[in-house]
Amino acid sequence: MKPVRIPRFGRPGCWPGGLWRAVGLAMMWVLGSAALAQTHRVVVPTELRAAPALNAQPLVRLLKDALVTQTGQKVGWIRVTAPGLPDGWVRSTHLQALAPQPSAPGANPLTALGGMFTATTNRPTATNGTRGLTPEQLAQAQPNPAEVSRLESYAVAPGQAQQFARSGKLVSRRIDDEGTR
Amino acid sequence: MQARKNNRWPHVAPLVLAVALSACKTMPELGNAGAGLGSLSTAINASGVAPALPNAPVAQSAALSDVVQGASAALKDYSAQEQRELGQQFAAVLLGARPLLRNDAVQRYVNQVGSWVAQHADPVLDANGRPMEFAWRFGVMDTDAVNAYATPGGFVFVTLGLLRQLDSEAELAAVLAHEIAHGVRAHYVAALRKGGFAEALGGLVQARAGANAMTTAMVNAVRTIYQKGLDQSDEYEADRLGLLYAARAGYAPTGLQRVLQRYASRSVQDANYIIFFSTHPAPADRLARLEPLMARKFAALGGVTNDARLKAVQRQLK
Repeated sequence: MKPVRIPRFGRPGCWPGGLWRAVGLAMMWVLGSAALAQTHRVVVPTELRAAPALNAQPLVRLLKDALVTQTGQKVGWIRVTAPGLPDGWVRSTHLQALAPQPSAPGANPLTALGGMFTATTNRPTATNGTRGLTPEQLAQAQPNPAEVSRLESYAVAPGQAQQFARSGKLVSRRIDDEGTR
Repeated sequence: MQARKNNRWPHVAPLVLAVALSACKTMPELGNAGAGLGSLSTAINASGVAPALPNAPVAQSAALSDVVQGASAALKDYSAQEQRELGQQFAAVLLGARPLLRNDAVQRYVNQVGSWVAQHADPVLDANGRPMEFAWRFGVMDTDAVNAYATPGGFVFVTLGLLRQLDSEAELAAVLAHEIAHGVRAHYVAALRKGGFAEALGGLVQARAGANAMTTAMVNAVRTIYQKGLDQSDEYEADRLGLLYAARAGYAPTGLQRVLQRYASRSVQDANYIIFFSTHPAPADRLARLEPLMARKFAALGGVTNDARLKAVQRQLK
């Protein structure tokens, strides 16, 4: 990373130079961070929900490739907003975080200055990729017999399945296979 | 995991290789080989150790014929145990691509739904017409991709991405029933036969010997099958049978329609649907083929959807 030259602030002889420098850096960090809100791209069409829960009220459907701005975060969920949209929550796995984009140069000198500190990351970067399953992953899959053993621990006996069905009011029906072959 | 070289059966390896080299030529003729040509048990004795094949290099043509014909017959008439062993290998490769979701409650729930539906599937008959019992196992793979998979011998998988999208237990039952139908109708065994039985033979021989390692050929065969998918006719058949099995289990038959309608609304460009769309017929075509059944046979059939029970499970998903 290129060394960043820190601009100096303040008048000599008033405050110690180091203190002025610290105050200046703090201001740049705060203002710069505010201007560099995290942007996400929707990678899986999904609902914007009123709360971070799958059963929370859906507010609007987000289409693929929509861009939203992060305003908060909880485990597994990101609070977002976008022009014309209410504040809401989206599952984090359905979003792809893009690197912060600075505002246009000159719009705010401090913001532009703050941008200096992110210059090396100013390009789209997937930091929250989905846990996909691609043809390439399948083509390179190495056998994992330990996972098959783990699967055995979830086995359900026929009687347990029948009890489960009763609790869900499921009743077997006799239906022939005519027309289904 | 590296496939291990099999040094225990020096006689078998060259035979398997030779079978592989001659498979393309001989397979069509052997597709109708009679059952009396021998079975895999002629190549594997009861102790699970491959017998010596004396004079293999000398009597190559005769030995090759036996093994090839035996493999062909075995692939047509796998026992439940043999299909199970194949299924474990298929499952190991699949779970090598993405592991199981680490949520015991969700895994048990899916096993309960799947086991109940499987109790309403058609019996699988062996070569002698006797019913074979599959020990059905169901798993949720920890991936955002949307898909479901089956293996020979009774393993069925759905992805976390798919589970999240469902609106009812009836929809989950429909997906599982479709995969159960693939297992019942031995569609993956058929895919192995079409893709090269020599690889299957090598893989099964090694599994029978108690080795955990799979042959490279077997691993490649399984990878290829899951990348290419099954024949479209197998998918349509699994739709029809899955509809039947879920309905017999008491679920609303509209579950499958709803799932397919959701698929139809997705873009083929969607990263989480790439494998699904490349390995299945278009959802609209599947819906069209189901339409006559839905309009007549299943039209007046109600059933349970159990929306709330599925939603309660979905809330447990991370």
